[in-house]
Amino acid sequence: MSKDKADIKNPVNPPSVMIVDDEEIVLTSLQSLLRLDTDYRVVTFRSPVEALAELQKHPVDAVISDFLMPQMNGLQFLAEVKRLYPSVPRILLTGYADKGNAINAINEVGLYQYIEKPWDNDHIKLVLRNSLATKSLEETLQQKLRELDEVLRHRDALATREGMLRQELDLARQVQQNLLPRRLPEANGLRIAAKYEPVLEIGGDYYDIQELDESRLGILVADATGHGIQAALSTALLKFAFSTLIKSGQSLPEIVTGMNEILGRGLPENSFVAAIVAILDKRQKSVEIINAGLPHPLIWRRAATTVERVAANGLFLGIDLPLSYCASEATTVSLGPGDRLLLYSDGLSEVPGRDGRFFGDATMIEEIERHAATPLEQLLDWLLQSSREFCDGSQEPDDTTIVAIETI
Amino acid sequence: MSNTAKDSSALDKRETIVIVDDEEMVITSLSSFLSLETEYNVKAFTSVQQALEFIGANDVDLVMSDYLMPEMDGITFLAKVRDLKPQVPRIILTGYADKENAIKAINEVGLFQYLEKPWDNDDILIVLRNGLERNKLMKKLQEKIDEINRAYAELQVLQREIVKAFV
Repeated sequence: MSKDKADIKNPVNPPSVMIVDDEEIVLTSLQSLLRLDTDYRVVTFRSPVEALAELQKHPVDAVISDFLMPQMNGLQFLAEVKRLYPSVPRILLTGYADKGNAINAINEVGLYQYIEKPWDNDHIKLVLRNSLATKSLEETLQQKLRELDEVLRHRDALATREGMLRQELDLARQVQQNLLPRRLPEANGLRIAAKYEPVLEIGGDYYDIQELDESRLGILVADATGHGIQAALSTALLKFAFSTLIKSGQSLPEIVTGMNEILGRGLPENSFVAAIVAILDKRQKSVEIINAGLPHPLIWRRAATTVERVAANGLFLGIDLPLSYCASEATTVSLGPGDRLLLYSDGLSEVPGRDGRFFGDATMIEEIERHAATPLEQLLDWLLQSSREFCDGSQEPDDTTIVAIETI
Repeated sequence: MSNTAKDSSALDKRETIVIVDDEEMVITSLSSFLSLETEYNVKAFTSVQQALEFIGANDVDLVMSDYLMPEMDGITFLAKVRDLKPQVPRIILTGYADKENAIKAINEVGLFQYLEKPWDNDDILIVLRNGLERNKLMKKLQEKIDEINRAYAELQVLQREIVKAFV
């Protein structure tokens, strides 16, 4: 049989084998065999009592013991070894005459195997190799069980934590839901529709519509970075900034400048908001718009049967720079009979398609033209559905918000 | 010898041992002895091919084969068993004349142990017990590794969910 490399364990720390026999010649020949043919570390004792004393100080990986010894017999000795180290394999060397006793005691002492004298070298090496491999397996199993316990503990702790966070998230979701308009304002000669589709429970998108006076409405469509708790907090801050300033009587550029200051101070680092802030004059059928980083609003002109882009773009809000928006950054558009103005977040338009193109303006315009006769609410449903179907699935969907105004 | 296998842990599933020997008498005596002394589920074959078919199609816990057989020698057969079920311990029964060859092939084919004919019943019981114990440990270890991997995967899903929802 080839040399048994101590590959059962770390070769730097090969298995150790203790041999106990009162006959020196047995010890010498077994030790020579194992040193020559294996990498095991071998310790030998003629006295089982001394062997036990040594074992108490230094455990070994396997024990081979003779049966007939003067101080105590091999079975008594191996029973003591078992008491000290239950997982250490124990092998009994027995003469033919003692074999019966050995077999009777096997279950009592829990021997791995007995080997008859005169032994066969290959056989003893094989038995030793198997016993060490079994012990190594048991140790690995114990280690894996500890590892499993630890992973399961981590998993359960994380699941508990996740449950708590989910509750917090649910509260945040409720807060965010409460921040959204409960109902859309009604206006003579105007139809207003809104679509709000967060991807997760809490989105970074937000919209708001506030009545400023009898003839004017303040409109906000926004997309805050992040989602979850961060988005809930950002949108709460956005709601506060918008609803406070939109009724302040200031000009639209001043309102947006003020919102930028509040968001700059309040948002976490590296967070910002893309937003459209608009004031709709119901009597004049005109809308003043400042676009801080959202896609161009689109207007369906019923008379001309064309779609126009509202080219108005400013910087994001909340990047903590002392920006001031000026009047030139506000665009005013007039709406004729049957015209439709669409303000929307990039979750609707910046969607990659299978052919490498984005959903984008061009597709949006096609859809708006195709659904010119569709009621406003249903048009928003169509747009959202088309955008989702257009998506090639290469990126996670984004929150989508659309606010649309139609003159009747 | 007291009944080692019967005294061992109450197995929820009896362990299956496949015995292959071209001599009907050997098969009969081994099967009778093991049925009497143990609770192993013993499947005995005189045909190597049938044994391979059975091993391929069923869960087996240990395979014991004679060395000298007309269809193919025991080492070749046990090498095929290793290809089918690498973790299953394999034992070869060998006469004195073939012992050297069997020993030479032990590492090559990765045999668990060899037993000499005429065998000693007590020896066979101990060797089978040790082989089955090894098999049980290997299975348990694999189960635990699978459980760890599953738990890790669940942990990662949770982490991703948390990051997705809260970060």
